Amino acid sequence: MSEFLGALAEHAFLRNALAAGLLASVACGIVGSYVSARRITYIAGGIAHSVLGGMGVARYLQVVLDWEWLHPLHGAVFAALLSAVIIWIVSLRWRESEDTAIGAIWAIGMAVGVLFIYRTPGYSENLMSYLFGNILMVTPGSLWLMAALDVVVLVLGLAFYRQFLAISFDEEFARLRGVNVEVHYLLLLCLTALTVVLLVTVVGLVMVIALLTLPVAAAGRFGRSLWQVMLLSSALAAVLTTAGLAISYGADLPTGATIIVLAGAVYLLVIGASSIADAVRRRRAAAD
Amino acid sequence: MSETRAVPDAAAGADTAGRSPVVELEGVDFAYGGAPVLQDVGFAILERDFVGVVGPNGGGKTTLLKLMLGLLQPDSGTVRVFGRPPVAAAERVGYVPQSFQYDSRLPVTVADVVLMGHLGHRHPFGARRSEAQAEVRGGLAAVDLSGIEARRFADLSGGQQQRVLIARALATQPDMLMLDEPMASLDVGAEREILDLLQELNRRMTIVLVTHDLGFVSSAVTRVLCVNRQVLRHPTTEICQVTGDVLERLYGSDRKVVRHDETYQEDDRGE
Repeated sequence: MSEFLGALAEHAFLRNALAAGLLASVACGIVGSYVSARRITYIAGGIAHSVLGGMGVARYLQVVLDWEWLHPLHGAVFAALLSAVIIWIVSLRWRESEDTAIGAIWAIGMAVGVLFIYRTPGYSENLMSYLFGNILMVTPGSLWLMAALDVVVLVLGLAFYRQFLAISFDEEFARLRGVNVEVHYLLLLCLTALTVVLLVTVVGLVMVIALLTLPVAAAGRFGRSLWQVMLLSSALAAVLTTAGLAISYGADLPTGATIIVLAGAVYLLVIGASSIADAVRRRRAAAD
Repeated sequence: MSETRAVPDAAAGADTAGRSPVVELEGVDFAYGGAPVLQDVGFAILERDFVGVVGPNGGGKTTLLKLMLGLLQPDSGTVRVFGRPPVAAAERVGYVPQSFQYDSRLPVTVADVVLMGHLGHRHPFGARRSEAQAEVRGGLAAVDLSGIEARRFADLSGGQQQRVLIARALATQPDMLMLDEPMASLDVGAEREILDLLQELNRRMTIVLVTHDLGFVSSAVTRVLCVNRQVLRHPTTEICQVTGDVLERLYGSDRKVVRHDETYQEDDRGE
């Protein structure tokens, strides 16, 4: 651990990586809680994979047209928001085709990304770092973009807390109270899209779902209300990304995969322990 | 309170005691897909009525309630609530849904649920914190559940959950309360408590109660709506003397229109 702290003081890229992990953790806890509450994990997965299309196109334009200012992260934001809007429109008009639409967006986004990366001159290493993340490559420029996304997610996610909670609990009643359920659904999908982009830079698009769901699922065993679950899962995600970074640095392992394995282990531990505790409590209650 | 908020243009249908109609349906048809659920339904509910809505399963009770709430739109005919379209009147109506389905893993406390009644029209971003907490306490006290606001909703018994949902509906400060089978799946003691509570509330608001157990609520209701594709209305005095014969026809397997010896439809519509 002290070795990691020393390295942290020495290397800017490690500090950037740590900051990226912490920024992503905040959005991860807030939006992850909503995603679980509304059961749209599959949608989050679709959006995450479609992001490859945006990153591939942006990278291609950056290299081929010499657009220095364009970063793959910009393409990711665009693709994620576009996917969110498409899924929203399909869910409004053709509810029964929603699954098909998500699957299509998932696969088409990846295919477009692969094609553009294939045609981009230079290293094709990019593909691997998009898929599995490369937190050690986070630049100060992308950190600022991540911070901006984080602020948007934080402000909107908390401002509409009551509406999101009411819709998750009882959509019909929320509607009767004058809450525009459809508009709030679009807002939630867009917040999910931005969060996915934040997480892609940390663990890569393939493993986004794990980081979006596992800390929330573990925190859900302890939190009594949704905001408690948000706080707990944000904290847990921060611990997991930091610990994952430290371990992977010390042992020279890929950071994204280390974080995910760690998250899976913590989740299993929490679920196992609380199931045993529940069983003991029930047996005691039955004995009384 | 409700007197002063009575809608002037609805006063034409007022009864002899001067009470105005709060709900008026006229010639309402509704079908799911091709299957007609309600046909040519017309009736009026007056201020501070306690209406029991009865009828066989699939007869259209819940559909009727959702039409009055504005959650469904009639294929033809008009629905007026407080003299306005139901959607426009929604803020004056409290609603307690049927056989409540929710995700029991969703972390939500009793206070969270009650506060959902504050959403929307009155407080777009929610009430102020201290004000909200006071209202939650008051609302829970009204349904005799003081001191449980911090507990998880999922950990409550069925009867407690039902009362929390009533507190949520009351938090909207309604002039009319609509309940869809609130006593389903409760034991007799809990049923009795909820009925007492509703009778108490009936002193200041109109109550519309969908129920499958007419006998149980007959002591409380002032009017009965029998829903089986069509809607017929009784004063309760009559329903209290309902014979086995009528009940058999009401709940009988054939889905034909229920025949009642006497209907009050015509004068209710003010025709």
